Amino acid sequence: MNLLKSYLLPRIAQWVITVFIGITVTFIIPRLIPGDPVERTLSSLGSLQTLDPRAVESLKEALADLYGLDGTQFDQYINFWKRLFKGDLGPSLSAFPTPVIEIIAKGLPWTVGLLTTSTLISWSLGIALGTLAGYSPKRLWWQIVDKAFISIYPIPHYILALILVMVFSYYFPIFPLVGGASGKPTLSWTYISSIFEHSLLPATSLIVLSTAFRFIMAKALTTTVAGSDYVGYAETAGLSKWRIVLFYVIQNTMLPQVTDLGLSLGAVFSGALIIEIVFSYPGIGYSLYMGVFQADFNLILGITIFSIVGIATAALIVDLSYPLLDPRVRYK
Amino acid sequence: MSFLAEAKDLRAYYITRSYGVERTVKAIDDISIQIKEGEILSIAGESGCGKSTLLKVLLGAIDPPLRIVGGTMQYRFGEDYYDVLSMSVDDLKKKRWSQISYIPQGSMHVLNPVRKIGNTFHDFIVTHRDLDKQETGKMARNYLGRLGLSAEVMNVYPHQLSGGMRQRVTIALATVLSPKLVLADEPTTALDVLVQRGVVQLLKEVQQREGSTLVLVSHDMGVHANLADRIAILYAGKLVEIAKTERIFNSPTHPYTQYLIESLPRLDDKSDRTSIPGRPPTLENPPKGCRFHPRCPHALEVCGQKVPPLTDLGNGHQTACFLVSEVDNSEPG
Repeated sequence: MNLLKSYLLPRIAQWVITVFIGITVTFIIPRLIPGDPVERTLSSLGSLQTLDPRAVESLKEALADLYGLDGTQFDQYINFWKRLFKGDLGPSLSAFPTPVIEIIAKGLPWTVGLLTTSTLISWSLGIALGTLAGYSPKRLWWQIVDKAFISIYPIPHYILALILVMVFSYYFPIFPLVGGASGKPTLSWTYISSIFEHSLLPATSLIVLSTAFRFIMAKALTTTVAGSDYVGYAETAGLSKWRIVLFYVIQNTMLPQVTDLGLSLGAVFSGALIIEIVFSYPGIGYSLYMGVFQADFNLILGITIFSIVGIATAALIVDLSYPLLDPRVRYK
Repeated sequence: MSFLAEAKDLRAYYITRSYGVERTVKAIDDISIQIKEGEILSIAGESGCGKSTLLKVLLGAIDPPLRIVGGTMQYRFGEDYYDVLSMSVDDLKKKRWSQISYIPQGSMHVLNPVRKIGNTFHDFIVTHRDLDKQETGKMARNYLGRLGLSAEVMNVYPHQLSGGMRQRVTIALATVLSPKLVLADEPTTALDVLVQRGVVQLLKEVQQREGSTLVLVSHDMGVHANLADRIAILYAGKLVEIAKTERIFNSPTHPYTQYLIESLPRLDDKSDRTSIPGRPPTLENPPKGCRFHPRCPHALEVCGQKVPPLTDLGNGHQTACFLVSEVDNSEPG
């Protein structure tokens, strides 16, 4: 009970405040942009002069109502929250009248599937390799791996993505160029294998570079821990190498590593913009790009809300997991 | 009495090379010492005289930049002799804990902070005994109980224990497999006087109960007086005097030992203590002859030329000083 009151509640309150402020700011910013989306839509419709002014007026009202732009700004804000709690993010402006939530629901599985998998793989791989390299820095093999990752790390991921696309989809057309899968979505092997086929190149470009980053991080953390008294004492006592690496080294570097993992997984909901564009991957990053391109405020707002909630929730979970990882972090 | 570990003419240097310049620190220079079965041997001396290095060599933990330049080093367990300097690292590690154990300097940080004490015990025991988790837990709890420590500590993390408690747990961790030889490097440093007393008593208890041999490094003469059967005095990488505790305290023969003993406060003597004139030499370039001669008030001409040999004064009392050995008969250093 005390734990709940003194540890859990303040953190949940913090989460609520973060999400509230984040969504409020996302609500305000598009409204500070000069120009009225209703006017913009009307002007994009073209020859209004030929229409009856009354018809134009009612069209305006209808649009304002649809966009959630009727009433004062405060009324809009209240209405916005009301609709949000019902899970209604409004209609997409670019693909009117498709609801934003539908577009997100369509893109989210692709993005979450791609990014969660590649984050988990690169996280585990980076820690495993980085820890071993940091623990035996004098081994020639690890020095080669170290140099390789340090040279890969500065490459921007879109460059790597472009290279992969050119080599494996264009010059040697082994992998498909666009899309997330081919054929009808069924539980058949051909459909599932086509998902793998389509995601292999985007996942590779994400994994290679973030593994390099995590390798460097894990190696730096390991170097500090490997020089500690408790590792030295365990070595003196003849503990096996895997036991030392697992329980004495990795476990002591987990705090920053889990923070990294949690926040990376939370950021999954903002999509992998550039990778999804390069590979025309049907995730929410791609939707966001289209939304920005076509001034689709509702869609941008919808995706931003997902990303705010995602990151805030990840931060909350990471925060709550600290005492499990390091007993010195007490429930306070 | 038979010996458990023996070093002969041992030379251990720290050799480092940076930017092509080689530096040699002669931390142990020609030391011969025997550790007898069942005794408590204390090694005393000021900081940087080679105490901890000697302990490392006794443990067989010879990692670069420390290198053995000469001499021999042997263990004897039962009827078997082991040449430490030619043993592989893996073989040495197998001997650790079951035969030779080590209580490190600054035990505050030798316990893994994210592992419960019980798991740490499991790690250390299972490395040397083929037991499952339940058995190691039982073994550790029983042992802690025998040392008068609560079995509760098995379920806590190191940071939840006080400094003195952590030191006691470390002593228990080091001796849980009943090693024959326990090497303790300044086990009471950084503890307050009251806790020191408890730790000293625990060390003595472990040694008596298990019949093990304890080699203790400390610069605290009080700890030596309380614990030791014999005391070895080191100065600048050399053994200058070794004798039974009473003899070191009551009739020290080496001028350095005399200074050391005189520097201790006495109840009946309120006069100021004088410190030894001069400074300890660097081990990179120690003085010729007797290394103490530049600071020695009784220095003879020969002291600056020849290294005084360790002379037996009877009763196991040995001193390396020309004042007690006959200069004429001394071998050239």
